[in-house]
Amino acid sequence: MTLPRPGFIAMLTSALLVLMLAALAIGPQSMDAAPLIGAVTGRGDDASAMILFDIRLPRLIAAAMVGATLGMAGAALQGLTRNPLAEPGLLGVSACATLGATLTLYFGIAAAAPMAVQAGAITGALIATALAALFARRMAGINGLILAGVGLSSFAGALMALLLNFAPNPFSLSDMINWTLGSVANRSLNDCAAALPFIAVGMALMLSAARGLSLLVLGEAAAAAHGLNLRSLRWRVIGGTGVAVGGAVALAGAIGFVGIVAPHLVKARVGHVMGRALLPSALVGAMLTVGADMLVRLLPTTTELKLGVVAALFGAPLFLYIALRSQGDRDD
Amino acid sequence: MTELIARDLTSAATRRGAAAVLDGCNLGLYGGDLVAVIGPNGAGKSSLLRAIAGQLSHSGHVTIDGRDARAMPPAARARAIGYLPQRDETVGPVRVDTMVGLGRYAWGASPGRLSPEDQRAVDAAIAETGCGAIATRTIDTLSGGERARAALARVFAAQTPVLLLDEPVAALDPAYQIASMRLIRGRADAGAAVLAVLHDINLAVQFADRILWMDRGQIVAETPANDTMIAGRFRKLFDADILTSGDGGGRIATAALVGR
Repeated sequence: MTLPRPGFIAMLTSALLVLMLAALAIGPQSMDAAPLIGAVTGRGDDASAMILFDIRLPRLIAAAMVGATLGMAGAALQGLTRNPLAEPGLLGVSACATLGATLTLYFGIAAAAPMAVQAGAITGALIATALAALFARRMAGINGLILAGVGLSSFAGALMALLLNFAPNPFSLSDMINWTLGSVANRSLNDCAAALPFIAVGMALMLSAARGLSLLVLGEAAAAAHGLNLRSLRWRVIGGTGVAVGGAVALAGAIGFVGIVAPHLVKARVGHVMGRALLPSALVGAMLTVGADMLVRLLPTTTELKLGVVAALFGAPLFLYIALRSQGDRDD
Repeated sequence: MTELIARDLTSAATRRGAAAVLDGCNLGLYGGDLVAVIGPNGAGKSSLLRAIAGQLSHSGHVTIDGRDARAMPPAARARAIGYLPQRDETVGPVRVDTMVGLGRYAWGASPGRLSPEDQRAVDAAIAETGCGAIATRTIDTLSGGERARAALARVFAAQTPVLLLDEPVAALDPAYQIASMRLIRGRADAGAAVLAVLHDINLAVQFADRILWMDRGQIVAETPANDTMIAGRFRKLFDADILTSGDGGGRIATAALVGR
């Protein structure tokens, strides 16, 4: 039984809120209701307030923002490419954003200027988006976009390897590797605020394309015949993805697979029409990263396990499963 | 009455310098008309429909009731011209009624958000095409014939005064072919201007008013569908013969392909 859409969104929102509350309460220093309420109302002890507002809350908000961005971007790209395996990584946006961030670390700009990593990631994402769009224009159709993305990803990966290869010292190497692994540990509310405008504008662009993305399920020719302005749709989805994912990578580094998994989990509930999957995918994406980050914090490892690593460990097998299943559909 | 005029449609040559696919096509299409487009593979039939639908860059003009189609915004054009591509490329297990509802996009509808008017148009199209029994099934579970009918329902739901149908009955069994052609004829009788690419000369003779004969990017002739001259025209284009039977009044009633 498919829930009506407002009900479905309300259900996902409530689930996310519950999960976020749990994430605030759970940690190495566990907090039950009393200190939690005390910290929130300002009547608790200072230690609890510090743990809550300076450590857990920024980390939680960062995880939710990043997951929501990746989930929505995945749904938008899957709708645009009509391919269930599409995600921000596909366009090369994630790889180029990570490269941009790593470049600032390599050349020491990150240490010299505040927000340099963020600026690097967003610049990388925007360049990738512009290049992908440019290639896609020359190679008509959506396959051109996918091929351009694969090429961009590979090239960005190669440049990353080059940077790691020539890392000036072990510290800078470890800095760069940390960035590519993806994490929301030690983020501040300021970091979140710096990424917010990009994520908000990107999401607004993607949401403005929702109706067209739904129509695109019919194929490009039929969708255009029913009045879809394909060019405008492509720009909004590609631009929105680039800006939002740039902001997300600036906040947390590279985190993969959320963009594939989140839409996959919701699309049956919205009738396999991707325009309706944008908001639910964002909510589920946020749940995935918040949940994965809880796992990261709770696992008793000596070195901190990175969020991006956990996401990939769970996401990659699911990716293969989805790939095999969609191939099966095509063979029928 | 709807009037669609296409003048001197010539497709832009591709970048590799291939010959133009459309070469100066002129046609007039009027409300109540069902016009069949017939010609060999590669003659430019699909290109002609795509050019009129605004999906192929071309020189020349298309006007609908005197308005320049190229100057119309995409949604306004989609409310005037319905176009059924040769292949249905819907992906994923989308329900038939959802897909038919997408036909209302140009009126501002989106899945889950149909106005009462949109809903009436969708219900009518589903009923008209006999898709009632499959309305809640998903596209991937349908037979080829059911899928073609669902696609037709989607185009009908748009309630456009002009319909461009690219091989609407290709790959359908005879019963579905006849049923679909009756539906299309019904739309023309209800006032729509219909241009349909057909490969079956017999269906063209039985259901169409006129035939546009196409070859090498040009409309080489236009004849009444039941004109006795069609046998000669057919032989010229396809190098194949048809056997015709008269209706007793000097007109053709049926045509059958004969092997050489």
